[in-house]
Amino acid sequence: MASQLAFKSRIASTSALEKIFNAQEMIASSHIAKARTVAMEAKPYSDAIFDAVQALVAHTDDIRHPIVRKDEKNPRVAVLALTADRGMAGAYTSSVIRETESLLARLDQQSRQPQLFVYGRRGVSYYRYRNRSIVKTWEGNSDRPGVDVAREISQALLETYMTPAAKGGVSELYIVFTEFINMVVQKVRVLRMLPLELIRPDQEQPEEAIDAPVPDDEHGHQGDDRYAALYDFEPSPQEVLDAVLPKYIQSRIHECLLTSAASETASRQNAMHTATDNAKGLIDDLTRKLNATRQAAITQELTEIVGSADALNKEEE
Amino acid sequence: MADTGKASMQVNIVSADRPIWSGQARSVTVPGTQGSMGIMPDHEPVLALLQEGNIRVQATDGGRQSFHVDSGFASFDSNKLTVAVDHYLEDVDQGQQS
Repeated sequence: MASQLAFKSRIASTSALEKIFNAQEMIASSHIAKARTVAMEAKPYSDAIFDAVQALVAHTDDIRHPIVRKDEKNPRVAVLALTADRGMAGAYTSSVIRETESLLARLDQQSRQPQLFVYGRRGVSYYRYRNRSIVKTWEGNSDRPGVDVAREISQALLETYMTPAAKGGVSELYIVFTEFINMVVQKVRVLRMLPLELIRPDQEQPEEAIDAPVPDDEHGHQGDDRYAALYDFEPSPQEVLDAVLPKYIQSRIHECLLTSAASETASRQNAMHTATDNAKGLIDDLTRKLNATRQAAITQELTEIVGSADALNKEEE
Repeated sequence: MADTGKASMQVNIVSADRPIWSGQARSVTVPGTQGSMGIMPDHEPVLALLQEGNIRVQATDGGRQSFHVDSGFASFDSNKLTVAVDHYLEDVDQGQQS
């Protein structure tokens, strides 16, 4: 049986760890509120862009833009994985990496050449350690991604996408991110971002039905054609398209970053909560063992005293 | 829309990371790429690109606001103006004068 001293020091170190886990959990839960505000504040902008894109789609006959359709055949595709900067977030990064790996394997099977882009220090170090080729990485602020990061990422990816195949461009862009469903459930998802699938507002689009503007009466009794003719694009539809579509991509990427950040914080909170519980359980366990050891030691001492007293008594007789 | 003699429109000005201003306005001037554009209530539906410049808002309560922004776009549809800009640079303070 281990010595009491060993138990005491293990209890002390476990309770120190428990304090750290507890603090981490509280930090994570305060970050969640922040992440939620940031997401709320970015929402009007992405809604505005979404509405503008919807208007463009509805009022231009045929959108001819590389972002929507790319004609050249090109086996290269870009894959962007959104991971965390720091650990202690449970399975957050590893599930993203697992999903990325299976996507890469699928793409390989279709004899495509995936090009890897990674955001987040954990993901970067995972792939660096395994000597995998990464085209570009971004690090920092994975739990609070700003507009700047979204702009950098979308500019780099759009640039790669717009480059002709002969010069190393790609034909598609996939994003692996973690969708924040609620505090307990976060789901890793793969999204094909480029080429963009634009669906006319009159067709149902289940995924973005919530974002679609609510049609009011004014639209109802106006004929669609007349309505379309009234819409004015300044300076010209093509130029507006050229300007708005990249912004749309940027705002979509920003949305992915934000929902990933919220998921990261939530899974960190969950992980830290579990760790705190485990530490508590461990301390209880160790305390019980410590008491048992102490009891055993006392019993032994008593037995020794009683035994030796008996022996002395017998000698006197 | 409650027509109380003077028409008004709903205005939303948002930047990429946060909303900047929203409310009822009588007229808004935006820095279009082909020159300043004044937008009044019941303007025809328009989607216009913006360049760096000032957005001037005349609110229904008489207040005037001015925002210095860089590129973005403004869209007007069913008496609702939405201005989405990449960066909100500063508040050009014109306060509540006049």
